[in-house]
Amino acid sequence: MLLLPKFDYYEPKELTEACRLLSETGSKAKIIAGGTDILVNMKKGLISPKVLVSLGRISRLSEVERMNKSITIGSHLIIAKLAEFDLIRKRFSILASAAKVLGSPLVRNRATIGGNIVTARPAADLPPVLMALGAKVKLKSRRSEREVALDDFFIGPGATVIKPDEILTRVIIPETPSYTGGHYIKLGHRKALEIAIVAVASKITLNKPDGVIKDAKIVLSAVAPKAVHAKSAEEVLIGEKPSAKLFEEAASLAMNDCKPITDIRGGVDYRQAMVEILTRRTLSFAWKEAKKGKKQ
Amino acid sequence: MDNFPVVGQRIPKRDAPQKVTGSAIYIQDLKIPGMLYGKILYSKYPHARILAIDTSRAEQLPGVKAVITGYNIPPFKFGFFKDNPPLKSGKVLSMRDEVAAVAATSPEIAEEALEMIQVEYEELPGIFDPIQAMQEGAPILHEGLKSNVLKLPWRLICGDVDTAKKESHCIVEDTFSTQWVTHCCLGTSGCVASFDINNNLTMYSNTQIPYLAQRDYIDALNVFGIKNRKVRVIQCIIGGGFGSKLDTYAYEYIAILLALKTRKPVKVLFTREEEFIATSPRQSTITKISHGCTKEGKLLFREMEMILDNGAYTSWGATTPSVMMMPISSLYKVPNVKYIAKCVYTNNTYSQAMRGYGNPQATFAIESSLDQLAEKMGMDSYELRLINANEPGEITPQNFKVTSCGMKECIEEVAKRIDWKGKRGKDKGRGVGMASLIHVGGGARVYKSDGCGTIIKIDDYGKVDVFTGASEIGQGSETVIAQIVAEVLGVNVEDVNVINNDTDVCPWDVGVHASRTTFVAGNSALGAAKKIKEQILEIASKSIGEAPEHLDIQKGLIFSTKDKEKNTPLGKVLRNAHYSTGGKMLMAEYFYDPANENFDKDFKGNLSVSYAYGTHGVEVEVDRDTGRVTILKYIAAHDVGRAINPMMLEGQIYGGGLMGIGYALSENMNFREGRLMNPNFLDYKMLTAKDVPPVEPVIVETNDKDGPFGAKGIGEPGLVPTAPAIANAIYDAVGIRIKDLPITPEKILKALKEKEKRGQSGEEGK
Repeated sequence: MLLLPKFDYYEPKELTEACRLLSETGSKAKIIAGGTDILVNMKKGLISPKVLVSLGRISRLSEVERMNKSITIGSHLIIAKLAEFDLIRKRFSILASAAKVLGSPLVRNRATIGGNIVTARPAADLPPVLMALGAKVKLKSRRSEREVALDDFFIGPGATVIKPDEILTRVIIPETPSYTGGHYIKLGHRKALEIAIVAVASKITLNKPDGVIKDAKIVLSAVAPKAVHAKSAEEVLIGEKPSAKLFEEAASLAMNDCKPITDIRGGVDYRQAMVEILTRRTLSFAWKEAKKGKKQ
Repeated sequence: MDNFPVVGQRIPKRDAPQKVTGSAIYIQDLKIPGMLYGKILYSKYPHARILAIDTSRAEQLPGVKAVITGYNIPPFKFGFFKDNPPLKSGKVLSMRDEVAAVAATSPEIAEEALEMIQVEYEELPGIFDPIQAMQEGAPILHEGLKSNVLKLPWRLICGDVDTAKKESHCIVEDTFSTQWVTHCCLGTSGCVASFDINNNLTMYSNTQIPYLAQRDYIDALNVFGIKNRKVRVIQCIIGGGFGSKLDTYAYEYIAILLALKTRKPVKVLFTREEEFIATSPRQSTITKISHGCTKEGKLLFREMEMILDNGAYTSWGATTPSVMMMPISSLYKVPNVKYIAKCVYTNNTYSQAMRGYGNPQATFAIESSLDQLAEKMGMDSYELRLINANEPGEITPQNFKVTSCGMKECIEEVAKRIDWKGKRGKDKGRGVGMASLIHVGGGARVYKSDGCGTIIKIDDYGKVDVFTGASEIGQGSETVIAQIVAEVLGVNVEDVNVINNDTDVCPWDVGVHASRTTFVAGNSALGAAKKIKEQILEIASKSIGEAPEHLDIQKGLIFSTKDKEKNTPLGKVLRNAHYSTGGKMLMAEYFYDPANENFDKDFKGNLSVSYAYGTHGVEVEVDRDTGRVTILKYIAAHDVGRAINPMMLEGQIYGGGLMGIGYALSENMNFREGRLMNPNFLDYKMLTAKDVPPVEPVIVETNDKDGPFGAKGIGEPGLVPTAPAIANAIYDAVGIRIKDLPITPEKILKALKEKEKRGQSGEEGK
């Protein structure tokens, strides 16, 4: 039986109040969102914050807003809701599909988009698709506010550039251009309650339906200390006409863009082989999507 | 076969409403005034010497009422070999070894106190592989023993295998292995031990063996200095058993010891992590097997050698070879059989019974090997199975007397429904496979008695109380027993109440094991119901004016079968029985003990009155890139004698099938040097509702002459042939045979790559 250590708990209604609490208590405080990760880690004795500041009552943090050429998602939006928004389902379908395969219904009803990012787990479901979509996060402290591209946000397992007094408040995703398609595949043993052995998110944009690839993003998950771009694979695609052969070449390059380890969930060789397969499959699907045409 | 108004009907499981509405009282929910909470401190190492234990700080924590260790309890050992003390002193032999225990006013305080107990260990080299444990010079785990091999001479010899080998036209030989898997009961283990002022013990428990556990507790109390007291076992609603609760465990004795010391009721309840780490699962096995047959494909011999990882202590897991002998000697007709098994101590967790009781491990080797034999013979494996299928009237080499047997029908049903001829060996990437099973279906004489008692009484209004020794562990025995009694007595099934959870109230039963409850408890209930019906008709005959043999009961009305106008309500007869001078209460008891046999010293004898058969057929698709297996179609044909309740029977088949699919493809207790790496549902890959493939149960009814209304057991068979059926289908799909369970995508991909390297010459069985 794991015991939860004692701590003080705050539920501010305003973001400024949350920032104040965080700055005043310094490194002793932690933000709690869904609690699916932090409470477990506290029970295991891995961390022992003296103060937990909940974002649950700050209503704006659960809202999705459409901005100029982007959408912004409040960091406290729960995963189950993420897949329900029409806007997200239609325009960022890979985000919706990643949200649907995250954990179990119980976890999805508590865990939040912000939590899935800041915990920086190497096999988390949302970071790879958000990176493929070119997302940024907004980090707010009592005195400052800054935006960081998700590509620059993660350092390693559990480590990010966020400072102790900063709160991840919003996730900003740029609108995708026309002729863009994407796909996310999470490989596990089961269809539910699963953590990825390997996951790949791909997104490509064509200059016209039967044209060349204007932009390509391939993000690999669970095969490095953090989600990583398959850079050499992305590069080989740009300016080229899509074809099965091209995707094979990219997939093969992607294998060398990661550094998997062997653990109880999978071996190095298998993971590396799966990077190739999933890269190829996500690209083929993304191409089909991209050809479909203009975004509405 | 006859149709009946209650037996054979799809009646909903009667405990379902309270379970789905949350009103069922599990051990988790039970609270007794003054109750304390016990927690157990486990070892830090898989093999170590305990140098010192300091409990002083824990004892001083407010709320802590008792702290016990192996150094301050009476010397007592439990288990099949009596090799397991509830709290260890001297040495620990596995990560789950209990070192100390605390009773406190809350589980949180008890847990906090555990953290304050200082144990000093001297780590010893561990042995985690049974083959290494058998090697010369390997450290001996149990002091006083000369070898890590258990003194259990599992050896079955039927006919003459050596001669049969010489006479065989075709022989295959290979090695198969299986992994550790665990029951995953949704209700975790727990108990409350409570002594009254006279030291009589009441154990609230979720055991599958209330009457054998009672005996175990009495033995323990004798050692603890409490002699000649009464032990009462009361079961809460049990959240699954699957064999896990066929023994008594350290935590139960710890609860008793803590209750004795504190003079308060003490509850010990496992967390999910403890359930994974500290309950006793199905052991891993390594099996060498060879089969030989004639030119026509008639089996001539089967030879098997098996090594079982017993783990650190000995529970019923060590006796699973006795059940493995059943498929080894009697699955298909095979005249010459040799089987030798060794159970070996290691520093892993220790093994116990689990649904199938060894049969899945043995059947995986047998049915995989048969497909290899068919291929080497150039035969269709379906034909090979049909040629050798068991038949009614057969006496098997182990002296099983086969009565009802629908094995051929099962094989044929599967072949037809899976389109065997159309699909086998055709569409590459997709494949079909099948495997069959034999299991005890008419009880199993494991102990001196295989009996079950029933008492029936009926109240003044025709409502029936059935007191049975048989436990409900979720399998549906309450519903089946109610149906049988309702059928005999001619009352509504809703009017039959089943009481089955209290040794003070219910008669004796040997336990919920060996798929025996419908057969044995069903026959017992049937006997009691017939007896009380005789009494009722006898009394009614006077008031109706008709001879008892011409009376019957339907829907609570007693009537003359000659003239239906001559009738009287059941309740009225029952009331008059005691509201009269010289009156009597209507009650009946019946003890049924099937006419089966214990094994003799050579492990031969008719273990069960009848045998259950079945065949599973699977169509799979294998993703050659990822190694993932998708089950497209799953046919599970079972000879059940008769379905007392087809809906619940299908439930057993779905549940067994899914458990079997997990065994085949994903479940694995991942031990690293004795430490379980995946003690949670995230990393222990029990399949979820979303993974359920389309399972099609096929009920084959053979109307067994000894079964209640013709029924045989079905509790365990559902998972027995699953893994080999899937392995055979994978071979048909992509030409690789995985001989080591579970068949993970990683293993498949590796085998596919190796096959590619070898070229297309990589055929098996050569």
